[in-house]
Amino acid sequence: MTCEEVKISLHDYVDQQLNDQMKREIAFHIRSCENCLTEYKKLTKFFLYLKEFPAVQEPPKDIVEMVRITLLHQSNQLYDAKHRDDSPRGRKLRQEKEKQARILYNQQKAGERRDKKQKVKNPSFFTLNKELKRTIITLLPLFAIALGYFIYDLHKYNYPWEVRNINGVLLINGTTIANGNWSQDETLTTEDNSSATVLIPKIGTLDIGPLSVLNLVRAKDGSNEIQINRGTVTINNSIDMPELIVKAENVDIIDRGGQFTVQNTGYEGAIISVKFAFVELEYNGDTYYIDENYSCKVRSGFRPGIPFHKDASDSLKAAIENFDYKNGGESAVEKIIALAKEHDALTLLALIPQVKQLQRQIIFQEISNRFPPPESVTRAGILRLEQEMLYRWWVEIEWQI
Amino acid sequence: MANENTTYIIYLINLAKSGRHSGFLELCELHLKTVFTVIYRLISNVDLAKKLSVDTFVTVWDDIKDFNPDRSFIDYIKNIAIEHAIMELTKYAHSPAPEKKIELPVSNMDRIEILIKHLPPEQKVIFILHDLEGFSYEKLQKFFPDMIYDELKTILIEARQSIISKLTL
Repeated sequence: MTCEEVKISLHDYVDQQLNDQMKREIAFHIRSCENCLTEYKKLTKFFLYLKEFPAVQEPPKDIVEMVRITLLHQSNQLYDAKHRDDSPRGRKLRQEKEKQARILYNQQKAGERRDKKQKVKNPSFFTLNKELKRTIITLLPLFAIALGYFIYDLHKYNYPWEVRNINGVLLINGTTIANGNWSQDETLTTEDNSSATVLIPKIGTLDIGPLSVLNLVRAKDGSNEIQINRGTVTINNSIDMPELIVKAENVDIIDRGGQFTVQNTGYEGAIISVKFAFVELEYNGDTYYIDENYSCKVRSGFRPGIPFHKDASDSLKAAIENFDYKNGGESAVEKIIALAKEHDALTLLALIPQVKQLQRQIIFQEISNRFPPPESVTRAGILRLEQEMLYRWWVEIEWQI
Repeated sequence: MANENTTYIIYLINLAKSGRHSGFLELCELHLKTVFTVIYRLISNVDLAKKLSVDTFVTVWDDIKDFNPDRSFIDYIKNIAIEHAIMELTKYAHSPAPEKKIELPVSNMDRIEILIKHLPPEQKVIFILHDLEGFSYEKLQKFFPDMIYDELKTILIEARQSIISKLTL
């Protein structure tokens, strides 16, 4: 083997990529050739240095937090796209808003250009050419409209939300606060054994429990939204028709007055418990109702669970869990029917849309024995899952329980 | 490669597949050092490596529904991180910066670090992935599908020689 051939194969030799025959030939050559031995030693020393390189590089601590914020932002955008009001009125409002924003932008740009010119010439309004005067006069009313709309829109903002009664450690966007405000797009976090109360203007209060992570998604009249990523919140309304949505997992919990608690455990999903009045859940375009004294589990990737009464037996709760999340099927339904008592009537009613025709008939009979449907609600309508009839029967049962 | 996913990793993957941010963020925590280290080695800039690490995790989140759990998750996430870093490195590859004389420190260890940093992008990626990250030529070919085995080997040897020639060994 020549020195040139060895030089070419030396890297493969070090990388252990050669067959035994080649290895032997190179080893033999190295032993007898000073130059190739030096090359070989250089290469092996170089690899010894490479071995000294640190195995891992310590990453900055906030990377995962940045991922969390990015994902949250993405899901908010998805939500906005999904809930866009595409009615003619919604479209018109959006077009008007875009139009006004364009006008405002153009006027700002025109203003900047004008300022530049004025810096050079400093002409008064009366010395401007006719075309420019005409443009300004035309744009003036539009500017007034835009300004009016802007003030109107600004007036609708409903934040900051005042944070009171802080016990323990509370952070807003990672900064500890003793008291203060919570504004749109900010994340509020409580630590172990910490709690606080937030005053929501025009709605009521929000009691926040320990180890909670909440994001104030939107705070505007007609559209207040918070996202609960983890922890516990209790909403106490001071008005009948609040405009508040709590987002937990992939469900929108629409506040309909009264008092309710949302507890999000993270991996096990969230549980919503209503103390007074009722709440509405929106999932995949469908609406679900939870009455007072009822609770309901929600988990990502599943429709909201069947609600259960606060006095429901543990075996009934287990049967519901089995039906909702463990493919319990018909046997779980039979068990729920058998275990349901009078106060569980709304559990049975919520079950109707989720089961087959035969079981619907059984459940219809079971509920009717205790709470006969009102006149406007027919057996055929319920079995066909007519939403209006299901709702009317729900109202009829709700006030009697 | 054998599947190295533990039961816990599979559990977290399934949570992420069902849309749970919390499960996914736990996966990020567990793979943060792997992702950041490989990107930092290729990019040599903490801020950029941080940004690309975030981009990597967001890409994984977007694609996780299609992830096959029979595949090694660590390999999957590392490959995405490398792809992001290569994209960043090749962004300005067509307009190379003018050659500057590099100030080399005395110690060989520090010299190697500086010299790797100043390798041309292709040599840098192939050298780091093969000699520091332990990638085989077959695995390297996934990132350079237009190159044959011998080309990769030639580039690797050029990179090694360019570094060794500036060391006192």
